[in-house]
Amino acid sequence: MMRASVRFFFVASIVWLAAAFLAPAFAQQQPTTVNPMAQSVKEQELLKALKKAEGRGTLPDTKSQVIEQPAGRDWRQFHQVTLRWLGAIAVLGMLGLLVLFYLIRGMIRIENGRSGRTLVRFNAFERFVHWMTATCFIVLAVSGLNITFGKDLLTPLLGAQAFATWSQWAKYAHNYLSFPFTLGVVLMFLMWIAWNFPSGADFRWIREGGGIVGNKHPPARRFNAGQKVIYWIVVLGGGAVAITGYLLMFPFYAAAVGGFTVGTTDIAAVQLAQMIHGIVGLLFIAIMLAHIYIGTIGMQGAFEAMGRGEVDVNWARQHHSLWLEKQAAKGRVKSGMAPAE
Amino acid sequence: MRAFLAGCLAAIVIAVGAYAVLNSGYVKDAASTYFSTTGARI
Repeated sequence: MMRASVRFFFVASIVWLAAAFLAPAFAQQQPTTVNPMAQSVKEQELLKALKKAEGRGTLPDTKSQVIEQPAGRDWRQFHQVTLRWLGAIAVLGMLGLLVLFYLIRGMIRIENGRSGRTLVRFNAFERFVHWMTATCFIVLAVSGLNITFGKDLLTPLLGAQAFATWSQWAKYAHNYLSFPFTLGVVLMFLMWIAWNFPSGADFRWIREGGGIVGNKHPPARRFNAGQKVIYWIVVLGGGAVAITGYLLMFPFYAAAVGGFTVGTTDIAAVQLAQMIHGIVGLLFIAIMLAHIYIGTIGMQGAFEAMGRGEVDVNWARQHHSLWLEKQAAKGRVKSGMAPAE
Repeated sequence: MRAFLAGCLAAIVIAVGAYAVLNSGYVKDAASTYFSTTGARI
C-alpha cells in the first residue's frame, strides 16, 4: 500500500513538472500580439483597386452583393456637410443680399405714377399655371429644406416624435406635389418659350442694370433679360430637379424603352442624382427668393401682373416699353379712370 | 385671386390623383412588367 502511494506521488510529480515546462512552449505557439490593421490594409488595397468590395450571392438583385462602397462615404460627407454649407450660404446669403438691396434701393416706384389705363399682362391660364407651379414650389422648398436642415433645426424645437410625424407628411407632400410642379414647368416651358429667346435689347438691358441698379429704364420686350434668366432657370432647373427627383422616388428602377434605358439600377448613379437634386434645389430656392422679392415688395405694380393679370400703362412703359408699343398698336390698352392714389 | 385658388386646387387634385394611381395595385403590377430593380434586363 505504501509502495503504491509512493509510485502515485512520483508519477503525479512527473506529470505536473512536464505540464509546468511544456505550457509556456504551447503558449509561445499562439499569436501573442493581434494586428487589427492587417486585414483592413488588404481591404483598403482592395477598395482602391475595385472601388467597391463585392461578393457573390444567390439573390437576383446584384446590388445586394456590394458589401462596401467607399463612394458612399463621399456621398454621406456631401449630404451631411457640404450640401448644408452650400444651402445655408446660398439661401441665407440671398436673403441678406435682398434685405441689403431693399435698404439701399427701396421699392422701385412707378416714376410717373399710375395712369389709370391698364393692359393685360398675363391671361387667366398663364396665371393659373404660374400659381399652381408656385404653390407647389413653396411646399417642395419647405419640405426639401426639412430633409437637409430639419433634423438639426427642428428636433430641438418639436421633439423627436413630432419632428418624425411632420417629416413623414412633408415627404408625402414632397413626393406627390412633384407631379403638378413638373406639369407646371412643362406648361411654362411651352407657353412662354416664344418670348424667351435672347434678343439685342437684352444686352442693352443688362448693360444699363435693367432699371434695377441705377435709374435708367432700358427698353424691353414682353420679358426682359432678367425674366428670361428666371425662365430658363425654372425650365432647366425645374427639369433637373424633376428628373433627379423621380430617380430618387423610384430608386433602382430601370427599363429599356426604345433602345434607351430609363432610370438606373446603379448605386453611384442614384447617389449622383441625390447630389444634383440637392444642389439644384437649394440654388433654385435662393434664386426664387429674388424672384419673389422683385415681384412683391421690390417693385411697385409688379404683383398685379400675376395677381389680377393687368398692369398699369406707366408701369409697362417704364419696364417693358417695346412690349407696350406693340400692345398699344394692337389696341390692347384699356382706357380707365384715374386711380384714387 | 381666382387663378391662385384654381392653381392650388389643381395642385391638390393632381397630387391626390398621383397618390391614388401610384398606390394602386395595377400600376405596381404594370411597373414590374417593364421595370427591373435588379439590374437584370426585362
